[in-house]
Amino acid sequence: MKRLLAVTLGILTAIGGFVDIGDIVANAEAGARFGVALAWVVVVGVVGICVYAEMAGRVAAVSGRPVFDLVRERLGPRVGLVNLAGSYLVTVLTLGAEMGGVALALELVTSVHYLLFVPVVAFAAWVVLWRVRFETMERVFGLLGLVLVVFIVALFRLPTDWSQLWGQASHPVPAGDENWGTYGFFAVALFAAAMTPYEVFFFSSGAVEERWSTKDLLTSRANVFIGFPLGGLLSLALMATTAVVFHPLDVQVETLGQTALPVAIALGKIGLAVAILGFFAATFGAAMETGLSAGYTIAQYFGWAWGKFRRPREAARFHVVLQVSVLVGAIALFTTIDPIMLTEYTLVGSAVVLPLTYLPILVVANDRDYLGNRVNGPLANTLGLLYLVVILAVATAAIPLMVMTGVGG
Amino acid sequence: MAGNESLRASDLLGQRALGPDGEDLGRVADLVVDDDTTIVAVIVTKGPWGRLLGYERSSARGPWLLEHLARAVLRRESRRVPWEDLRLADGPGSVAQ
Amino acid sequence: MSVLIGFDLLDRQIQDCDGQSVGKVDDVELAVGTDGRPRVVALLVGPQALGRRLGGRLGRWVSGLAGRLHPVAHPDPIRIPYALIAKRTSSIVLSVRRDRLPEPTLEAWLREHLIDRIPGASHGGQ
Repeated sequence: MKRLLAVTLGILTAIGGFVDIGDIVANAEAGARFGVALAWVVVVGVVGICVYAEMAGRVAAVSGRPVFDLVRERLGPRVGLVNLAGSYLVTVLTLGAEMGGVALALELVTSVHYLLFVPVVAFAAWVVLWRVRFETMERVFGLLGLVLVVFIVALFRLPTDWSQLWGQASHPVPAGDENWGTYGFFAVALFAAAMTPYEVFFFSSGAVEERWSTKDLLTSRANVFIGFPLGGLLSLALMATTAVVFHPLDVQVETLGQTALPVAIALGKIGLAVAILGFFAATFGAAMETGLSAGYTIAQYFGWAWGKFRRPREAARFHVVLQVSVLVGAIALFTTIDPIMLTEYTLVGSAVVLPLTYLPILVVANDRDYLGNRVNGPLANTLGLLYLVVILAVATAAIPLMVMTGVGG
Repeated sequence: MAGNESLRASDLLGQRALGPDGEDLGRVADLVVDDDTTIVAVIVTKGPWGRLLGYERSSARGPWLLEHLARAVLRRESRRVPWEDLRLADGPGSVAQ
Repeated sequence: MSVLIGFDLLDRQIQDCDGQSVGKVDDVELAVGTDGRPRVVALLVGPQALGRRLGGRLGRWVSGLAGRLHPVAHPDPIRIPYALIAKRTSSIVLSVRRDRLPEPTLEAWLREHLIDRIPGASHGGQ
């Protein structure tokens, strides 16, 4: 019974923790512009993250090796360093975007300009990373993030034409003023929002921090195969609500406030408050994850002691990296770049760095010296290879599409 | 031996290797060590000599497509050459021979 | 059982007997025996070793990371005699505890000058 409770808690945390500012921005914008015609991309992305996270979780549980440790081991120090530079940069900028999301959520509540909240958010982020227990942090923000289910409720309360939604989803072509270029760009953004590299660094390192072993494989798989898809459902709800409200009016979604509007329409002020709470939890939780992931990548490349389960003075370099990362993220926001814009850039960046971090995991998941008889079976390998191709295609298309469409146009 | 002046594995890896008759064997990709910590042989390759994701070892398997691609691209014509049969362009091998 | 220096040693994580991280194998020290064959003598850990291995301008920059903070101008990397290796699994496990080895320069410096000055630095793990 206690075990069931623990597993359920894990799943709920995974669902609530799935959505971050990238998912919010990409899904809301795509919904307004394309209806739910891009829903299939979210599905493809969610399956992808499940495949990748399951492998990384299994490798971490059975061999005790987290992702970035393996990146250097399998790619060598030079290519590994290039990968590190790219991954760290993207992760830190994502951290900035998440903190920007928190500040925007606070702006929605107080009408105080978001930039004034940035120092407060950065300080809070620093304090939580310094003092709060890993598990507590994950649980609190994960469970709070579950309130985003209000978007699913709103979908049922709005005058939703379900057959029309289905029609859009099953005709995945650009409509109205959109062309295949912007369609492609948003497909890349949605895919990158679902398959973020930092998510897997975090999941894999968390497994090592919590000292998972083969006994925990079931929990790991439950979190991944139940938690992530349900989390993906929340993303789709974001897309569907803006599709119902904004798409028929040909209005684009450009702010966090607009993203919450469908809920306000359907459920009034209480719904709006819950939606904003959801945004806050999702982005602050993601800020914690990206901050830690930034630390994990550097510490694991160089072989330093890392992890929140150590006292800060026993992992000084790791904690300094955490602090520097929060600072850099905050500085990125202080350039007054629109956090939504920053989010879009980080999505493109994530798509580009993903292949080199994915590849070592796929290879190690087949290595009997590491996993014994828990190596990939034919299904995992088929999916793994398939997604490698998809990831490479997305990585190659990302920057050209961004340039061609002027970041979505 | 002074710490900073010691001979290191990185000094040998990547070096051009020559056979006993002076023929070009490629570059040193890895060094094989026996139980005694002595280097007994060298893996040379004519192709790029960097890290190969772990497919250097014959025990590494699959996914088969990746494995074959990797071996084809990064380990064309790689072979194990005993230390005695080797000369390095510059390094201890050239001294011993 | 033969060991490949490049694959089995280089860039592997080193852990002490309690599972604490010691560092990565940044390079391997060799010594040439009387028979002309090199032998593996020690594992080398630290930015100095990694920097020299990477080579070029990038390598010098990486080496400099520790050099600037160390009292000695060109510090030696941390040297772990090969005999201290207890076993090799996916990582290299030593037979001794981490505190028997010299502490990495950057870690010590940052701990003294930054981390220890913030309240809560010794707060028990978590």
